[in-house]
Amino acid sequence: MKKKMFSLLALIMFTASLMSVAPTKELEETDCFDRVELMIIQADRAGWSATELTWLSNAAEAVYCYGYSWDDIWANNY
Amino acid sequence: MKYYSYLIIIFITLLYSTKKDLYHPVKETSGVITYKYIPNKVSDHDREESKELYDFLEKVNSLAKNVEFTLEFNDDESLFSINEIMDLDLNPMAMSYIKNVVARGKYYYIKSKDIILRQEDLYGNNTLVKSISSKVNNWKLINESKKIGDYTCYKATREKTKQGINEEHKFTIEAWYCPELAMTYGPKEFNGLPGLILELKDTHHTFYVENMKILNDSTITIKPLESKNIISEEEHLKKIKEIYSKQ
Repeated sequence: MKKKMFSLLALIMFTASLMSVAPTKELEETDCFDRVELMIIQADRAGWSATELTWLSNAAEAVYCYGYSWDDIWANNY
Repeated sequence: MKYYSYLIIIFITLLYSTKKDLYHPVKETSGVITYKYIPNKVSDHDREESKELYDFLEKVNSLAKNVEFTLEFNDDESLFSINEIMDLDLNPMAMSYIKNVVARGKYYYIKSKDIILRQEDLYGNNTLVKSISSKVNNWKLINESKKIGDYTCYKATREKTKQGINEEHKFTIEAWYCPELAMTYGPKEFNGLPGLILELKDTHHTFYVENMKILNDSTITIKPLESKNIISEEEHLKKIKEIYSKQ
């Protein structure tokens, strides 16, 4: 009986951990552009010009979405 | 007799030239001013509301904190640019930020012609954007003073408009100029005040003087910005609106 209880508990915990990890991972993959867009909205609200916003968008995408380190940006002419 | 006539002419010429110098002294000045910058203060509320943006900017500003700008000038011209020696040492992201957001190119001002030429990389063919200094620098002098180093500086303000994606943003620019240093120059496109600008609060950054070298001669020569492609500020704004309305 005890063994069955432990097995059931382990199954519940495993399922729960899968449920909690899966959406987070999915979010990590897709939310970088949302994050950049949010930054653009915030910068626009702060009065950045259109050309400055273009720079911000490129730089933030490079760092957050394409995985460039802060030092890589130069080589890619951002 | 002829000898005396020559002497009199030489004497009169010398006297006249001496008097002319006394009444109309030709005072030549040139110099190099080094500025640094800090980001403008943001309220806790704004920082909290725009956390993603300010976290990103905090990182970039910390990488760019040692960047220096140079204002070279003589009696009739000035050139504001990023210190090129720094270009080699600075973090690439930081330099990119400085070039695209903080300074936005070099600024060449010709006082006698009342024009400012700014480098604009957007078009990629060495385009210069031309504006009329007295038209954009319509300063309001404020009866407020403060000490910057050993100098008494006075406040002046003017409006500045930035073209956003959907709308224009209006800002009040604050300059602290020093009449003791009677040069009408300052950082970026800001000039035309009755004294050198020692501190300037721009839309998102404040420039302050780090170092000054002022000479009583015109030994500093300015390399002018030159290009075949010169457009007016109005044309530039129109093009920007067109570009972003398509997006």
